[in-house]
Amino acid sequence: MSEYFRAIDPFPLQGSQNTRLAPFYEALRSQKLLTTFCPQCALRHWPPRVVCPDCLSDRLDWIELPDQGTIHAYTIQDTGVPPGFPRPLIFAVVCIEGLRIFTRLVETEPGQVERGRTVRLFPSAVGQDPEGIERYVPTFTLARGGARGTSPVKIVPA
Amino acid sequence: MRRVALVGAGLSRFGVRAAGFRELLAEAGRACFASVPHLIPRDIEGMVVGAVLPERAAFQSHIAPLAAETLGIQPSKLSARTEHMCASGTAGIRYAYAFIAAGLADIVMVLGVEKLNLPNMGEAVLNMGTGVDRDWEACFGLTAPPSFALAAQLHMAEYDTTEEQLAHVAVKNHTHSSKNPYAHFQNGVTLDAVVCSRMIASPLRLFMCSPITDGAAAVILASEERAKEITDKPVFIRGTGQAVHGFSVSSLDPDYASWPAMKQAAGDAYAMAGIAANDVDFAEVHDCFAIAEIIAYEELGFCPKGEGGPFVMEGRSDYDGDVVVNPRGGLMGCGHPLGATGVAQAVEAFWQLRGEAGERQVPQAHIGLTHNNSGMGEHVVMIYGRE
Repeated sequence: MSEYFRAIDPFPLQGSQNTRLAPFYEALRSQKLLTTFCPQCALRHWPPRVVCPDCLSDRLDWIELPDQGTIHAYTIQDTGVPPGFPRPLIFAVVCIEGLRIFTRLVETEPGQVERGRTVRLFPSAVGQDPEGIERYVPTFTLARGGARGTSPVKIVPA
Repeated sequence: MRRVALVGAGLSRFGVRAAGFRELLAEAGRACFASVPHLIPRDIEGMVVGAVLPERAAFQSHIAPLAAETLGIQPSKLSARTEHMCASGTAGIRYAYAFIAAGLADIVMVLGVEKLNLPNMGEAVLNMGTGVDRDWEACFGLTAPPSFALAAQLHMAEYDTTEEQLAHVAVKNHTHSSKNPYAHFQNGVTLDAVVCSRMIASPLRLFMCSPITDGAAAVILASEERAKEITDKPVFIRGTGQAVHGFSVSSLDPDYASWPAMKQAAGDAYAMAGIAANDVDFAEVHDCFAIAEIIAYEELGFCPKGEGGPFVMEGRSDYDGDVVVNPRGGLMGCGHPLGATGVAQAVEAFWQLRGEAGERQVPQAHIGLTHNNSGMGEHVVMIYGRE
């Protein structure tokens, strides 16, 4: 059945022929985390947008975010993991400069995960798209040394 | 606006069914007609069908005409499918309600149906990922349990809610569903069994989650005038509210333990019905996971914020308590065939308010509430009454 599941592609198409967010994915391939910024509203978005949800402008800039953040909330899924994904799955909401980023932690011991711990960007390859572009998704991993962030819990909506 | 009432209701058996998509909807539709002796399919002017995954699980779209044809209905005023993930059924009821209230139709069937179990369960699980944001969530393998687990984690951290309190929700609802011959689970469950069941997504264990279930449910809505011709016990829609604050986890209020969209939907429904939370005799709430029912007590106004855990432990959401929550057994006991769930909640309201709920009957039931969600930031509430 593995061929069958492969026919169901749960990953976004990332090339410029398929999405205006291609610059995000290009940067991700070189370990950089970008998002969109609306100069009119001075608002940063997450996830990246093609239209600002505040003013509906489509003239948005790309900005680079720090590649580290802190864990706001997490959960570890042992059972019911969709086919094609590893067990367990560690999901986390990571705060980076007031933005909340839903993600998955990889290369991480489940027992080491705590709210407030620092994580860093660690993109995961998820296979090629039909045009042969290697695709990545913005996963994170625990930062080395287990450094703790400050005031991890209370965050202001972006 | 005209007043609108339920005049008929019926269910298929819920469970892992040896039956296809069309057979399930036929079973519920047939049961619904059986509840209204003098009504025939050709009397129905409209058909609305709540269904989420037929394209994936049954390789079938074009659902409303399929359902109408299956049941011998030829819609003359309204035919549509509603898809709003887990709230698709109630979205359908609101659609039919608005049409009838506006005078665009007099009598409409709303049917919810889902065939989720497939020979390969991996595919069934993967299908559930279509209900979250593919580009930014499903790409990590997200399905519903971990989303609601985040809410449980924060509720436990902020309000000292315990695993035992979460387990009590499961014990209560499985006890209720043991008296429901349509339910997926009818054997009850002990507290020990819940807290020892395997971990799905921390802190939610197997019995704190609703299962993957096949099933269908149907109701018939009519204008007040038409309803009174059809039955001497119509069940009126007294109020309704819906609010959607965000689709993806990243866009929600950062306090996942509070669901302001639910409070807003409930507030609008209460205001429309002219009632308060303490007027509600029973509530069918969306207990997709135990934490959702605890938060529902709080956001619906049955108890103050943060006190949902003690509320269930003290029996206040059970028979002889303040309000009977999930008398049919909820999603945990009955199962959760996505599109069918909201309609099945309406079916329970119909039976309870007509005094036809058998062993599960809530004494002196005058006002019933149903709550259906399709994510932590998306909620819909209905209020039903005998008058």
